[in-house]
Amino acid sequence: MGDLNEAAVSLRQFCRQTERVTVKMASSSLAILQSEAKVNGLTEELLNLCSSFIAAKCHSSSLMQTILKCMIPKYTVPDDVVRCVLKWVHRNVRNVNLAVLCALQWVAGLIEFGLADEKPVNEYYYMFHLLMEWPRTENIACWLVVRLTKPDDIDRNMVLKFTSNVKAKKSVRDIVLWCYKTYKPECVPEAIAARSIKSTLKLSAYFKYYFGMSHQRIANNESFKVTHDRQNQLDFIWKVPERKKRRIENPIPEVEYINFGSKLYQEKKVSILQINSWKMFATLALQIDIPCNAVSLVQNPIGHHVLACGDENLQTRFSYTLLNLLQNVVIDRLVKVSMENQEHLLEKVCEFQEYSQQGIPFMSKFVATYLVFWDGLTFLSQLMRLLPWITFSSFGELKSLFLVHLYYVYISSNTMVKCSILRALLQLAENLILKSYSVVESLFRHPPLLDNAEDILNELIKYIQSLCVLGLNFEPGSAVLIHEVLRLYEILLDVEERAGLNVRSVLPPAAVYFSLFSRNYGNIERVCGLLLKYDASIGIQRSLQIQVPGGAKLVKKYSCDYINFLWRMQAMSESKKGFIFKGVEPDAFAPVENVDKAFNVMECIPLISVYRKHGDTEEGLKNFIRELRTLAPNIFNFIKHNLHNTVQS
Amino acid sequence: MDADRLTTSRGGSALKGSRRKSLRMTHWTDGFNESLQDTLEMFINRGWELFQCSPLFGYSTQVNPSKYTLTLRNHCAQMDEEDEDVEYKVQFNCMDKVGYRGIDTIIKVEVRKVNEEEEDIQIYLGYFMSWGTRKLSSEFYVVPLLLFRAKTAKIRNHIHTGFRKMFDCIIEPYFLGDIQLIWLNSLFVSVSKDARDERSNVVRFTLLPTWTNQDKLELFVSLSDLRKVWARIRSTNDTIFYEESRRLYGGLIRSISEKLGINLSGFRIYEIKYPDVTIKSSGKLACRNVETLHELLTFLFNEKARAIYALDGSFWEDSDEEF
Repeated sequence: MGDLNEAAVSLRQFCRQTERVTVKMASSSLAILQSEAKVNGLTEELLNLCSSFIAAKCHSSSLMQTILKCMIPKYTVPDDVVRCVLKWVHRNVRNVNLAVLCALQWVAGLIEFGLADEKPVNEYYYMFHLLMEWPRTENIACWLVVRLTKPDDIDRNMVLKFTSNVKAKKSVRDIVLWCYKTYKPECVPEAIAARSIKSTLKLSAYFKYYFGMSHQRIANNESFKVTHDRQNQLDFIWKVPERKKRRIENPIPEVEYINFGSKLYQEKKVSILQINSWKMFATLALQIDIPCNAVSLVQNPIGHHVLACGDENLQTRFSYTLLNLLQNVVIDRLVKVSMENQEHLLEKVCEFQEYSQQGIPFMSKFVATYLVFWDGLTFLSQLMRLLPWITFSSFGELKSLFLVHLYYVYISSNTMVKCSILRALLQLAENLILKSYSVVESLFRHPPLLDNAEDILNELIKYIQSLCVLGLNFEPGSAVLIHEVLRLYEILLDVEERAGLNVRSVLPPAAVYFSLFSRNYGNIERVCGLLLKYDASIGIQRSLQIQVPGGAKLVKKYSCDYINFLWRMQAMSESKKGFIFKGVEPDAFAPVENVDKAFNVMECIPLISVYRKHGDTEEGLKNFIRELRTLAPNIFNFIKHNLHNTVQS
Repeated sequence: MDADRLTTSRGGSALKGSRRKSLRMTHWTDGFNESLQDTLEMFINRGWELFQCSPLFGYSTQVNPSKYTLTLRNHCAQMDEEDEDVEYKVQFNCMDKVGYRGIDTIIKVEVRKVNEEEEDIQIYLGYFMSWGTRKLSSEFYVVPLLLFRAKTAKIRNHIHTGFRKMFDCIIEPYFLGDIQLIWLNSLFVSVSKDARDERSNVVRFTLLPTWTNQDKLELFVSLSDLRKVWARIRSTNDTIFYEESRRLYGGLIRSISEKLGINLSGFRIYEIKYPDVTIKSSGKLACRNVETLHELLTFLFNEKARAIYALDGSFWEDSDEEF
């Protein structure tokens, strides 16, 4: 640091002295500056110092070049410094030498890496035009002109002058004319060949490297993030295409725009990349320009909204391209995409479906195609999210396209997969109920109508019931599965009540009796709760015409059995009124003598049996009942209700 | 042999339409016209690569084609080429109302490169085609087949990215599985013509094992023998059934494996070469005969049209529906 100060001081001295300064004299201090610039970049103060040095003393080319090499900024370059350099160029414009080229490269590099404002450079726009005539600087001047041109700068006179000017090289002229043509094609009616502009910007490796470092410093610095880094303010992330070549890693295309024709004559529309918050979206919703790939809108909730409320054209485009994409990526595997990216794509589509709260026909087609060879493990969570939204027009279609394959996966997988399948089917049933019994407007393309909603629902619930029973039979001791089945029926009952249906689905016997003998009072409690609710619906049955498939008789049998097993200790003796031991002789349990007592379930439940043991006396019984009331209120209510009933009858 | 992914042992595929049962051949004599011959003449005697393309949106013949050429040219100019001064010339041509029933569309795209020495080289020539009997949509162009020749893979990728941006379509390779190649085999047996030279009237099948890329198996069968066997197997002149095709190919495989003692069930077909038509499973094809080409294009189009058309219809597709 000490050296740096000394170097700065000596430079100031050079500025003040009146004699000519040669490279040798200033070399030591300049060398120090250069090494500092390479490592850390110069601060604004030092840059200002350099610029005043240029203004005062730089007359030779080599000195200018050395100084320019020092002027690598730490973060950004202030406007005055840029102006100073350009003034120097202006002074030497008739005498183009290496230093001028170096200065131009410096300015171009600053703009390319975003280290300086374009305003001071704009002031020298016409000077760059002049510089295009010199062989050394034509390329870089051409790049600068193309970069800085605005549509207002172009008119026919200028174009004519330009084309008649023979001094510049043909390729350079072609590039500039092509640029003009894209802005105002009517000013340039001649046919112009398209050339690549990349060959014109040949920055020296030195500037490229060190400006790159400055750029990196800016990106890393926190205090710049507020003004310079727009991305961090966004609630939503859009993928913008990178400059370099990339392989297809992400199947979702990036948001890009393409213009056919002159930018000036298109309607002023807002690019969707500029939207960072819902508020902004709400104000600009009608002016949004659709990107060239409809599928790229799937990345974001805002994109979902645009898609769901878009017009027919956009939705058709989206459907076809998405289906093709899914077919190629997931089913045919024509494009090598990693599993994470495939999962990401499917998740985004799931989110879109959930946003529009509606099944989309082509997604069902994809699911149907994929289920045929699904192995039950890949994309499990995504498929389970997609399943509730599938569309179909009859139960036969649903069964043969979807349910059959789910069945095979169900019986061959473990408990977790079984539970997820049951949940997904439950959600499907819920969606059906909501859709048929209340009118829901569909935003996206209209799915096929269901002709017999009630029948389909009944069949579906029967199917779900058979799956539950099958699962319970395969895994009799599984606590998770019992819980899942009970939960399913609780939710189903709730939905049916709320939707005002006149059907109530009743637990299958497997669930009821597996819970009874599962030695877990939680299960028994839930079943008791359900039985109470069924009783209540049957009570209202006559007035509201509620049907209970399997009949009210089945529910009565369940209740009988429960009360006998739990309270009355009459499991065997009253078996005729129940379900499970009907027609079974007491001899079937041969070694056991008192079957009733053996099947006293209360004593087998770990927690409750402790209280039951003391329940033989009057006092003990009261205590027990009190405990039961707090511990398992549903069981208490159930017993109370049924005792009351039987007392009556 | 069931290398096709949609067949499982779980009792048939769900989508009946994905396994067609029959294929109806068009008789050349009815509906034949000069323009059809002219159109197909462009493709004869050259090798083509086959890709599939989703429907094109945003392409309309009302718009001045110079808009598309300009955009594609600008896109080409961004190719990471060497720093030469090269110029690109692009041409778009749309031919409507061509084809067997006069309702097909062919869009021709040609890209040429002119470098400093004024040498004009064609770097890409592509034809977007539909080749069916029914117009699938009037709002956008359904042209699922893309036949093209491109100089290098880089050029091809770059130009296809350009199409993707301009027309919002997805362009992917058209991979032909075993089942499709078996269909095509029986099609060629019925339709293809003899070579001029009697001795080269031979059909070559190239089979690749599925477990390695290094080895390959080439079978040479005489065309007249194949024709005799086929004449015995097939039942009608108009229609080819899937069972018959399988029997033809299966019989061939079985006779060879019996004679040589090789188990050919782990092999998949890579290439089928008839005297006048060659087709590879990766989608490269070459044809020397207009009629065979017509049948081939109809088959390829129908395979893809099913996926596109059934989007609006129900899932129960008639498996033999022709498009």
